[in-house]
Amino acid sequence: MNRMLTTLAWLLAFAALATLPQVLTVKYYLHLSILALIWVIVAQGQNLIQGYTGYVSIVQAGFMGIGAYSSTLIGIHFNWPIWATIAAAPLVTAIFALLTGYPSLRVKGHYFAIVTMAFNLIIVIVLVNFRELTRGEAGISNIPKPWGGDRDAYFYLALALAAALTLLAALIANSRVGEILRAIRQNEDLVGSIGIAAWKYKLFAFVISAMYAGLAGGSTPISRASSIRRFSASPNLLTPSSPSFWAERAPSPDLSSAHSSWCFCRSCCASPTASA
Amino acid sequence: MLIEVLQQAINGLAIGGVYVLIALGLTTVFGILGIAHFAHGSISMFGGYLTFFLVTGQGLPLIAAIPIALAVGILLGLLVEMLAYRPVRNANHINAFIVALGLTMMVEGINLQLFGHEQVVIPTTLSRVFRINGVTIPELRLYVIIAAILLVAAMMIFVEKTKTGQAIRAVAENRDAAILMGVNVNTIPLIVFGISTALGVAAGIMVGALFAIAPGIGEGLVVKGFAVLILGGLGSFPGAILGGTVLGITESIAAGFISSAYKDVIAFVVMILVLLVRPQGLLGRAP
Repeated sequence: MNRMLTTLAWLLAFAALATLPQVLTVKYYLHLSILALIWVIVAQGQNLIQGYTGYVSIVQAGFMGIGAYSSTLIGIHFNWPIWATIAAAPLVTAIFALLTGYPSLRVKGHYFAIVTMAFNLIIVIVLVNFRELTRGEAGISNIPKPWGGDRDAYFYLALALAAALTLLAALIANSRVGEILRAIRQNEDLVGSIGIAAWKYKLFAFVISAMYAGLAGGSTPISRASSIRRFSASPNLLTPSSPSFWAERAPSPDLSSAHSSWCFCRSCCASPTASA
Repeated sequence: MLIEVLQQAINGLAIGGVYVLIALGLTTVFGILGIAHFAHGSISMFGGYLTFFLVTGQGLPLIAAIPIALAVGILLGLLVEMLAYRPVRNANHINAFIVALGLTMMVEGINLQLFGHEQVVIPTTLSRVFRINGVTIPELRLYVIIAAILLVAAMMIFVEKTKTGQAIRAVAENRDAAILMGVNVNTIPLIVFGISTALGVAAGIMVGALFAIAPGIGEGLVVKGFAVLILGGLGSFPGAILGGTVLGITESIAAGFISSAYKDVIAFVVMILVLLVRPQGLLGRAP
C-alpha cells in the first residue's frame, strides 16, 4: 500500500512537471526549469559516487565540461543529429572517467577530493589553452539548435532524460551493486575482506556518475542555444569558464548519507569509512 | 642544459618557498582544528595588497611595511578564529567547511572593495642580479628563498622546541588528552591562527613582489597549498616542506622546458603520479 502511494506520488509529480510548459507563461522560467532538470541529472550522478559510495568527487563539473564540449564539437564538425551528439557526450566522458578514475580511486578521503580537484583544474586549463579545438576563452558560438530552437520540445527532452536517469539511479542503488557501494561507504576494508573487488565497484560508480555529468553537460549548450536565441540577442557561447561556473553550483546531494566523507575532522578521516 | 635545469630549479625554489609557507599555515590549522581553511589564500592576498598599499599609498619603506602587514596578519588570524571558526567549533564539521567557503568569498569581496580589481606588483628596489657559474639569481628571488627558509626554520623550532609548540602538537595528536593535561584549548587555536595567518601574509607579500596580486590569485594559491599537503602527506611538517619544494621546482622546470600554459597541469600530474606510488604522500605515515 505504502509502495503504491509512493509510486503514485512520483507519477503525480511527473505529470505536474509535464504540464509546466503549458502553465509557465514567462519563457525565462521555462529556461530555468530546463536547467533545473539538467541539475537533477548531475545530482543523481554525484549521489552515486558521493552519496552512496562515500567518495567526494570534485571533478564532476569538469566532466560536465567534457560532455558539453564533446557534444558541441561532434555536432559542429561531423554534423551528427542532435540526439546522437547528446548520446555521444556520456561515452566520451566515460573514456576520460576511466582514465582519471583508476588513479584517483587508489586514494581515499581528503586525498581523493584533492586529486579530483586537480583533475578538474587540469580539464579547465586544457579547455582554455587547447585553442585549436575549443577556441579558448572566446568560446564556441552558433551551436546547432534542435527543433528550430523550440523550448517546449527541449523541456520535454530534459524531463524525459531526468526522469529516466533518476529511475536508472534508483535501480542501481537498489541492486546488488548499490548494496556493495553502500557497503564500501560504511567499511571498505570489510568489503575487501569478504572477497569483493571494491575497486571495480568504485570505478563503476565513478564512471557512471561521470557519464551522468557528461550527459547533463552534453545537453546544456543546446539548451542555451534553444532558449537564449529568443530570450536575448547575444550569441550562444560555450566557454571554458563554464565548468568552473558549474563547479560553484555543483550540487552536493544527500548530505546526510555523504556525511562520513564530508567530515573534515581528523579522527573521522583517519578511517573515513568507519564512522558512517 | 644542466645550467638551464639549475636555473629553473632556483626559480622553482622561490615559488616552492611560497607554497611551503601557505601549506604550513594550512597544515597547522588542519592538524589542530580539522578544518580545511579555504580562506587562507585570500587572507594572504589581503596581506600582499596591504603591503602594496602601505608602500605606494602611504610611502612607507618596504622594510617598515612588512612588519606592519605581518602584525595585521596575526590580528586577522585571531579575528578569524574568534568570529568565524570558534562558534562552529563544536558543531558538525560540515558547518566549519561551509564557514570556510563563505569566509573565502567574504575576504575576496573585501579585497575587491578595498584595493580594486587592478593587478598590483609590490615595488622593490632589489634589482641586482647575481651570476654564479652561468646561473642567474635575481637578488629578490634570493631574498625570498632566504626569508622562506628562515620563516620555516623559525616555525619548526617553535613547534618542536617551545612549550606552546608542544601544546599545539599535543592538541593535534589527541585533543581530549591534551585538555586533561591542562592545555588551554581556547588559546591554542588563537595562537595557531595568528601564526598561520602571519605565514600566509608573508607568502602573500612574496607573491606580490615576485609576480603580481590580482583577484582570484588567492584561491589558486590555496588549491596549490592543499596539493602540497597531499603531495607531502597530510599532517606532516617535513612533508609540507618537501612537497612545496617539489611542486615549485616541477612547475618551474615544466614551464621552462615544456609549456608555460600547461605548467599547472604538469605539476598536478606529478602530484597524481606520486600518489599512485605512495598513496599516503611523500612523507605521510602509512595508514
